[in-house]
Amino acid sequence: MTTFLARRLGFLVLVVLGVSILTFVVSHLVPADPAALIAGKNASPATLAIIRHRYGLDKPLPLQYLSYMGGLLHGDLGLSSYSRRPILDDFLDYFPATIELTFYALLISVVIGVPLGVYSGLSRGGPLDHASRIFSIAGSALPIFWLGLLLQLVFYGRLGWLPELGRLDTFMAAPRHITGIYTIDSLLSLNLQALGNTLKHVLLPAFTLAFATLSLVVRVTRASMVDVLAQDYIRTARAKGVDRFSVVMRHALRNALIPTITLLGLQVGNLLSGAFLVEIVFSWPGIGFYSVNTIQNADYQAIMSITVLIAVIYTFVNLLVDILYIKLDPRINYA
Amino acid sequence: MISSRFRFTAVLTTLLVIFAPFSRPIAHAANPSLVIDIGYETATLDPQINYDTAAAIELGNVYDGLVRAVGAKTVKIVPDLATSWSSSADGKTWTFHLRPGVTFHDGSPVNAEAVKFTFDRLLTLNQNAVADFIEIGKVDAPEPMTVVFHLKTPFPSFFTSLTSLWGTGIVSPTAVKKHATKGDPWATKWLNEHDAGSGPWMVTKWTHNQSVVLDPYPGYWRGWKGQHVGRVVIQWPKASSTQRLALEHGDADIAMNMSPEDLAAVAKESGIKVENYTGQTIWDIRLNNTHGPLQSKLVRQALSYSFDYDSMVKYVFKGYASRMLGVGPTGLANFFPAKPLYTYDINKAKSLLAQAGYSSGFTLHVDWASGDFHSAQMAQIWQADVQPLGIKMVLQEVPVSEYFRISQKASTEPDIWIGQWTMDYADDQQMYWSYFNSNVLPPANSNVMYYKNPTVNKLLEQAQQAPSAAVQHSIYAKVLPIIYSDAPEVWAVQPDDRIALRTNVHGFVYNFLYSSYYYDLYALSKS
Amino acid sequence: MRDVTLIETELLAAPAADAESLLPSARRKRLLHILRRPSSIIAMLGVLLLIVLALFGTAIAPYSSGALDLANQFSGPGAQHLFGTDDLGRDIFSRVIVGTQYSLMAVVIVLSIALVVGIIVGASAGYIGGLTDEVLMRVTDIFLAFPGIVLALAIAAALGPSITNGVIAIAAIWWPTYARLVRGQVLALKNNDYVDAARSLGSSNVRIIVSHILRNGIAPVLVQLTLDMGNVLVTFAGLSYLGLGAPVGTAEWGAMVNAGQTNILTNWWLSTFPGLAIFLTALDLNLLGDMFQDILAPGAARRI
Repeated sequence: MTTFLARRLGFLVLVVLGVSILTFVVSHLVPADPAALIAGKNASPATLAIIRHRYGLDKPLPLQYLSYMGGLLHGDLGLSSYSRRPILDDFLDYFPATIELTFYALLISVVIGVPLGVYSGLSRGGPLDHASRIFSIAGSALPIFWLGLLLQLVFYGRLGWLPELGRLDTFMAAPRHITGIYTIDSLLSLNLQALGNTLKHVLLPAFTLAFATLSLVVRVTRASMVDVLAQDYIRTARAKGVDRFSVVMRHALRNALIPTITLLGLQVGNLLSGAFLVEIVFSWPGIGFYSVNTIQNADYQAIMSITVLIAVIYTFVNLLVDILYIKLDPRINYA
Repeated sequence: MISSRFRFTAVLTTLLVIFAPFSRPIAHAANPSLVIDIGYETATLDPQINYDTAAAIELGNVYDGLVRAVGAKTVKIVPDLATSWSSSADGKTWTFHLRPGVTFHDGSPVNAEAVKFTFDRLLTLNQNAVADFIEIGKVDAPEPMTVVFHLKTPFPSFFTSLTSLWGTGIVSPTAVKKHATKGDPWATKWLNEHDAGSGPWMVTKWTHNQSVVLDPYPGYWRGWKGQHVGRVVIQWPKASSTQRLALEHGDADIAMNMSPEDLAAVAKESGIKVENYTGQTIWDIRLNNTHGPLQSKLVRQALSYSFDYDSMVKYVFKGYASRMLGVGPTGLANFFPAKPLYTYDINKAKSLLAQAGYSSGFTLHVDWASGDFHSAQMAQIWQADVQPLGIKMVLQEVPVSEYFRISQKASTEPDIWIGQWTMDYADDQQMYWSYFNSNVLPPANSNVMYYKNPTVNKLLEQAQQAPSAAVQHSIYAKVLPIIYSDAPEVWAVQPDDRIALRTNVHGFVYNFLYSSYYYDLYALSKS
Repeated sequence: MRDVTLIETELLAAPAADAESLLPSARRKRLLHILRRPSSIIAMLGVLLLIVLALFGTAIAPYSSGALDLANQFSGPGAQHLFGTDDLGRDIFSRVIVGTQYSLMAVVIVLSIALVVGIIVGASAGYIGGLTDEVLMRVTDIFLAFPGIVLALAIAAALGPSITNGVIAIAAIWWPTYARLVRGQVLALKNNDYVDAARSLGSSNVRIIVSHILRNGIAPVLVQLTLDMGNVLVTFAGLSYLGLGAPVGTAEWGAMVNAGQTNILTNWWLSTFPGLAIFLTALDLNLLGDMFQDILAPGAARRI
């Protein structure tokens, strides 16, 4: 186990290096002049020279990369030419919104997907089973941005049930900032109004994001449920007279859920990239929204830093997921 | 196994928590709040650095200037921080007397030192808006409430230039010095997000990509008697549909950048009014005069004849615009109507191209700012219209910041850029000087067409230093026909400003000079 | 989105294949049975329709995809215009038809590049082994360290918006899956008896890889291809939706959804129909993928 961890952590370091080089190269495919972006369009050549020197832009490229990496290790991600703030500050502002969105998407996938999949597997051939099978095939074919637009059209435009864009109503003050995740912050500061408002706003974006994962969860849960139910030990339990419900809950479910959990771990990446699109559709101020905006404003420093950060976080999350598997399923051996 | 009773309670509680706050929050007892939706966010709130129209409403209401422009149709200049002024006979020295008893938001007094400090800051930082004030040599504060400007040359438009919102916001020296650091002696980092002004509103908080919150300054020199609004929240939802929904639901009181389709729809709804005003912003299409076929005056004129001005007004702006009638916008000083006007005449365009030797056509790249749907439509219509001439237009949206970069050099400037221009102050002179003078090229000025005409240069310089406004005016009468005939750009449309407000918002007064970018929040009230 | 290890997910939930089903006569019977299924027929007819539209769309469409009709901006769906018109009066039905070519082209080109690059990298890594393997796999892992669209966004942003650059960006994030798969197959097969025999007979390494290993191990790679078709389509549309694909005015589905969203509440047809086209096409490709999966990898769990 320790060797495994050591190797994976070593890999994480490698990822940081490789990813940062890759993005550094990519962002320099365009000969951008960040100095002009920061100084504004009428800056005199003298001003531009001062800014170039202040941000170290007059150094040769490899040295720029080294100082960038050095800064990275100290938590200094550079300055965004668009917001004129340290990119780390921007990141800490936007990332919690993405975490919150992704969390609720996962929650919806599980809370709706697992029961649906279980029921589908139990009642093979029934109408709900057919419906959920069609739903699962549609899931990954449905473009997430189109779904988001349609849901907005129906639930906001036509029905007026769910609110406009953003994380909270216009005049609602954000809960006291502890983590930046409004659900947690409002719970911790006992602000029930903000809590309810947050949930109301996150419902539609989270459901949109969850859709593809939801359909996969239904499919995999159903398939493994079908499998497990055909096993000998289930037949034995039924023959012994145990009622159907207990059979499902006590025996079948736990084993049937292992592939589902595996799937969820594999879906983290898809959820993260799906979040980018959902955030644009719903103007949800998360890291995807920030990334697309910096791209639209040619803020290459921010693009590069955020890409590196996301890759590192993603790798780290994968590592955590793998550790979770080892704990959950004693059959898995990574040695 | 979870007991069914516990499960029921859990579900019920969750439902209550979710649905209880569907009710609206309790209304404020003090002055009512106002929410304004604008389509694009500003980059900085620093009055001596900012140069985008997106910040105008904040700059104008948080900061005061020496004078201000008012008037919905024509421009009148009224006192603001200065109560009276005079100039020397040679036009090189201007003296302003300041209004007593005005304080900054931090409590320090507004005096001549503060004005001198502000202009020193502007000239030293040397960015963006400073281009309008290069004639200023020195600023003195001989008495506590008297400021003197020494100009390098007589500049007839100097007084009018002080109506600009960019560069002239008077800042509190106390606040700036308090937040200055060794590497940042003018506190640009702090002033980026905070305010050091004396105006009726203060910046409370700026949440990027969301909103800026302004609260009234209790010590504002005009006082707060009568009906006013209290907290002002300015949001930046980019999508017109978002602005529309917010307006319809009462989540926004004023929406500034809605699409023609959405404006047409809300105009019919009760509770919302749409107001249309002739504005001074122009859509001008800049041609890179150094690029291939565009070097030829005949080709540029051909392009001017290939642009369907009336269709653009009718279909892109839904009739809420007028085609440009000269080199600059109507309604400001030194406007001259052009004769004869370019019209949409494909045959004329064809013969001009043939004369220039380009009857087989060529390819041009047409760019504009991302998110600008009017320019996107104009580009696509123009693309279809020039096909019979053999001209292939390749269209692309470009981020504004990227455009600032590529326009610095003639080699990277796009072939054609569909842009807008809003005069900084009430004189077309500003555009003539920044646009058509080739002795000063980007980045120091806005001649992104890289247009060069030595005769024009000479005349423009004479006008810049003319001893009187009348002489200035007569020089422009000579030089503008030359520029118009050279066709360095296509002068497209002057659109109306269209603003949607809820009917319970009163006191909105349109300001022609600042178009819809700024208006006086102090005059507003809500019923 | 890119389902990196979907095939592993499938195998996790799959019952074991039984020996009888591998007899030639049984296999032919199975093949016919699979092809006769309603979902397979729909899939194959659908692909046929898509190919016809892609090749002949411009001729079939009732209007020219670029023809402006300014007097008819924002007409709703009706007899004159089946899917309505957009903000410049262009017929959306015609544009959706013409847009088929970009989507299908993107899928074909992205997967071709991903396959070729993946084969080169994976086969080299698996066959040569040692340091080459380590280095190549680490590079692959670095590309895989980015979730889905993130790296594609950065690449497309740097290269500039165009269909070509969008395709390059997506191919750049797609090839690692194939590299991994091919490497796995090469590793599994390179020590087989017949490979040893070929080597002792003097066949060159490349020939061994191509004629023996790849031919016998290609099945999972082909299955992955079929599973990816729908995902590539949706990813490419997503990139276009974000403004990094086709230039303004092109009749490309993702770009059309983007162009329509400003007026989604009043003029819903601008975004709805192109989005529907993306959905149905991806669905069809997924059904097709399922069909191939059943044929090539018997026993794996079906999608439906």
